[in-house]
Formats: sequence, structure tokens, C-alpha cells
Amino acid sequence: MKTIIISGILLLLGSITSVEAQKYFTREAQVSFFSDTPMEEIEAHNGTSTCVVDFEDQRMEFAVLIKAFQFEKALMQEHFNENYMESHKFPKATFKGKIINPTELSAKKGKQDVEVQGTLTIHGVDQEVTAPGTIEFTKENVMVSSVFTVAVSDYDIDIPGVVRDNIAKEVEITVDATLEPLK
Amino acid sequence: MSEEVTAQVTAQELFSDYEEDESTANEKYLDEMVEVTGKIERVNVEQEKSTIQLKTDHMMAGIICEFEAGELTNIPAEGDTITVRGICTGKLMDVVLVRCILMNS
Repeated sequence: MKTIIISGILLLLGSITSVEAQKYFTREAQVSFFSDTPMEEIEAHNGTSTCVVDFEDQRMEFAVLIKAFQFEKALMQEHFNENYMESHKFPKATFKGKIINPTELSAKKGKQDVEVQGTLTIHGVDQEVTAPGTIEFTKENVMVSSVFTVAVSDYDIDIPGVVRDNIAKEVEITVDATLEPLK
Repeated sequence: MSEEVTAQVTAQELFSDYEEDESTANEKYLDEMVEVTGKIERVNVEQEKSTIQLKTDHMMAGIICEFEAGELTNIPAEGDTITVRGICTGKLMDVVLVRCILMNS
């Protein structure tokens, strides 16, 4: 009898503290990047990234199509795809990782700071990265956001000398996603 | 990047082509202006970019059409059949079209 009561209490506690739906998903995550040099500011936006977060094991995955990044100048977009990212050879960039801090997220309302660690694959090159971000549980959704920088040279991206002063060595990446429960 | 329509397909045809053979489909559609007709699964209107997802027989995936800010003035309803023109950027889970224009609703 005692064990039944205890396990009943544990079950109740478990259902209160765990996140109600375990997997959240979107195909409309916004991923932008920003390159700032004294010569030029360059930014590009992509609103069709997919993102899945599984709160059971705190795993998180992102995927973007390189060609879906939109630039203000068409010529820049062409150079980005053809010369630097070689998107015909490497059409996707992905991130596969885990929320490492905190080790157990609570589904309480409000913004929580998190730290995410995993493998970022750009231009066919895998790099281990750690990035800060926030997670916010709203009534139905989960909002995920992060700003971090990547070094262009870490991904074997070759920037020719003539435009070297126009493209930052470290590019700032911004991620904003509203995820819905995956039924 | 082409500004002329190079293929007219249904959402299902486009998706099936990608499901069958991604590289052949890329040869046909990638960077091309594609005109797609399909039934709306979902509309997501944002201040910046808006997206419309077109139905296919796949349970989870379809065609994602992204519209630049201000492009989608007349917002169609879920379940409507629409024709959209956009540049195909390949397939993640869904086949993605960007810089879309709504042809009818």
C-alpha cells in the first residue's frame, strides 16, 4: 500500500514537472546572418528552416537550405551560393546537438537561458560548437532564439582577396523559431 | 536564376519528383521559377516573411512557399486551392520555394 501511494505521488510530481508535449517542431524557423566590416554590411535571411526539439532528451536539430537565404542584392546571393558556399555541392547546413545547460529544463513560463552544444555542419565541414540562447514556453508553443558567431575559415570557405575586406572573418548568426507540439 | 516559368506542376507532382530522386529533381527544378498548384495545408502570416504550406499525400511534408514581406496582401484560407510561382531551392523535409508570387486564389 505504501509503495502504491509513494509511486502515485512520484507519478503526480513527474507529470507536473515534465514538459507536457515532448517534441516540438517548426518548418518556419528564421535564420539570418550578418557580416559587418568597415567596407560593407551584408545580411541574409532564411525563413524556411526546420527545427525539432525533443525535451525528453533535450536534443535539438536545425536544418536550412543554403539557396533559401535571401540577400538584398541578387549578385551577392549568386556569389554566396556559387563561389563561397558551393551550394550545388553542399545544399544544406545543419546543427545537431543538445541543451547542455540546464541539464533539466522545466516547462515553467517565461524565458530561460540555455546553452546548446553540438555539431554545426556548413559547407560540408563539421565543427563542434557551443552557443547561448533562450527558450520560452508559452501556452501552446516553444520559442527558441540564439545569437552566435562562426568563423568563416573554420568551414573551409574560401574568400578571394579582392573581396576579403568586404566580408567579415566572423559572421553573426541569429536564430528565431516558434515551435509547435508535434502530435 | 530564371525569371521565366520553366515548369508547371501540382504540389504532389513536385513533391513526388523529389521523393523519387532528389538529384534528378534538382536538375529539373533547382534555381528555376516553378509554378505550383495545390491545396493549402497551413498559412503562417508574419510581419516579415509569410509562408504557405501546400498539401501532398505525405503525412508530414509538403511544399513550403515563402513570400517576401508585403508580398502576400490577399491572404488565402486553409483548404483553398492556389497557384504560386517561386524559385525552387531544393528539399529539406518539404520542397522549398522562395520569393513566391500568388497567381490566383
